[in-house]
Amino acid sequence: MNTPTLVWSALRRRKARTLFTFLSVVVAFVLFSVLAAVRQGMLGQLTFSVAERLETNNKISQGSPLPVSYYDKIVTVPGVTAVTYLNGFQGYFKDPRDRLQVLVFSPTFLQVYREATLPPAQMHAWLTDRQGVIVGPALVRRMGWKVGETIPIQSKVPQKDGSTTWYFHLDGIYHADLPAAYQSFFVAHYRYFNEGVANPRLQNIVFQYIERITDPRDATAIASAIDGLFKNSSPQTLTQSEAAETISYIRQFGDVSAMVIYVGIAVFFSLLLIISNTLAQSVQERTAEFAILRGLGFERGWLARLVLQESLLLIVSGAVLGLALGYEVTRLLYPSVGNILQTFALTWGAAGLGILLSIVFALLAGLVPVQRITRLRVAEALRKS
Amino acid sequence: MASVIAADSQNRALVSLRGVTKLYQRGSETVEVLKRLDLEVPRGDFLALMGPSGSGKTTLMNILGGLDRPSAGEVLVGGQPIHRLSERALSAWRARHIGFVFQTYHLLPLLTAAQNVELPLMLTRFKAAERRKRAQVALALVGMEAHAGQKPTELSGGQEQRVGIARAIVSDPTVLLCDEPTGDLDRTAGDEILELLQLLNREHGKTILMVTHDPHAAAKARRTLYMNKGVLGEKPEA
Ligand SMILES: Nc1ncnc2c1ncn2[C@@H]1O[C@H](COP(=O)(O)OP(=O)(O)OP(=O)(O)O)[C@@H](O)[C@H]1O
Ligand SMILES: [Mg+2]
Repeated sequence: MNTPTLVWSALRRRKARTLFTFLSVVVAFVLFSVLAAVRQGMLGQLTFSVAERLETNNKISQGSPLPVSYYDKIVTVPGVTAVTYLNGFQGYFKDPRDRLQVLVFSPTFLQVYREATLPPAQMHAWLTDRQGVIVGPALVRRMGWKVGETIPIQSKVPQKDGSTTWYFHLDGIYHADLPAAYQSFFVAHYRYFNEGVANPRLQNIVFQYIERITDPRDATAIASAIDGLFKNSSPQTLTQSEAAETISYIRQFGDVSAMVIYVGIAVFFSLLLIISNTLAQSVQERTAEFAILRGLGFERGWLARLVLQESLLLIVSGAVLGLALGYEVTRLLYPSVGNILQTFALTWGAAGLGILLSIVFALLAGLVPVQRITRLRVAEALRKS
Repeated sequence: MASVIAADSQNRALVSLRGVTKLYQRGSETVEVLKRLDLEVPRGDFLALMGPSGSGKTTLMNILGGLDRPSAGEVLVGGQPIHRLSERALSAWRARHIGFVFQTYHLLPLLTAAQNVELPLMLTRFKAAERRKRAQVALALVGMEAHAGQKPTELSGGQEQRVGIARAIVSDPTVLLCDEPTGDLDRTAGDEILELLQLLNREHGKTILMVTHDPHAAAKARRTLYMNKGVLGEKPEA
């Protein structure tokens, strides 16, 4: 017999209650994981944003296209060092479940997105290959591709010859020190798509221009200079810094996420109150047992530690399981929220914080019971039972 | 006022109470539950304590066992004034010197008989194997070795009380304090417990104080004292 036996026997005393408490802890920490992932998702958007980048969208509606002809004017704006633009379409590789987004950029892509690097030979290959594509390492791994391979992508967008299969050459794999969501891009050439696509309404349009500027302090001036160019054109443009863009993007659903977080925190703390109350109740029920132990010569501190160990075992193990499940839950949720919150994930840091929180909670939850034990009047407690 | 009540004045008393008073506050009223008690219990004694309900028997046992403190007076056990000990020192002292046996046994319900008996040894330096061995010996002494693995709910009242006694003697305490040990048992089971206490007293030299309401039980002790309204006497009050 040893202390763990005693702790364990205390927890087995009321199996259903212990299980219920344990499950509450698990649920609380699954919730914690999801909230942490949402927060990480919102943070991630901002970290990825670079102050030296501006984005030009259709002023009326962000998703609507702009003419590709705007490019020639935008590059002339002082302070703009590089401009790229993008279009794209949905497709899949062999299996319809292996869906991917084909992004087509101007060749200046790498000058604007300097976070993405690749070996000079691969860069050269891509720049000189009309059907070339550079792909993120995660996507390459998922699809099992190799550099030099020809990749057929099935889509619903027919080419001029009627074929809906687009062929790309994998010229390079870019590297970027960015979160997982940025490791799966499929970057092909705008020209290849623009010249190949059958539908004239899909030709010569872009969804966004992205500009690289020299000095972020000039961002506002440069943005209005760009928009000024198209004041009298249709459609008009709206240029924002990438950070501002991200913030306004997040704001669209930010209020909702903030509410989710607040409600989540409230639920989390209520659960903890319930758990702490359950522990206190369990100790209360065992008043006579604690009185006996005191009678046998066990000190208050010893009994207090016993209760704290009980609380720690229950809460910290529940938290570990909750975080593990939470990790799975966030992974399962990623496909549905990943396009809004690209860095939506439970990080090690957040998990560590969760464990720390659970320890603090276990100690707090043990506080009332410990106090009860310390104040226990042994003779009276024994008399009553 | 009260005379010193000793069984054998040649023997140096193992337990001695001098002028022990216990006051309880009941609302605005102060009740004197023990009134300047004097008592001497020599080593090897088996003393039965009788008296009406509410006369202060349990209060006396609690003070002797260091579970409660006297409002005034001295409590010496083996020459040590325990009323002066700090809370912490008193805990250690209880573990070393006192074995409690309760009317309602007070075994921990989720531990087996053997684990219950081993409990007090967790406060000693004995290694796990030694603790287990000693618990086994104590269980054998009370005739419960065959039930070592059973939980209290799987035992009869008499068996539970045997386990309770094994727990009380396992760390070889100086004094056994039994508060109505047969109070919840029928005559047969009660007699078995009393015989066990007699055995511990006669064969193992245990000093025992036992509270009882049953004259039949008191008759098994070496002598009987009567508590009446906080005063000890050698005869029941008329
Ligand atoms: N904590 C307390 N506060 C106030 N009064 C108390 C307290 N504990 C005991 N008493 C009172 O002290 C008196 C003696 O109680 P005690 O339990 O010692 O009696 P007893 O002789 O053991 O009785 P019984 O035979 O019923 O067990 C009783 O009147 C009881 O109500
Ligand atoms: Mg009593």
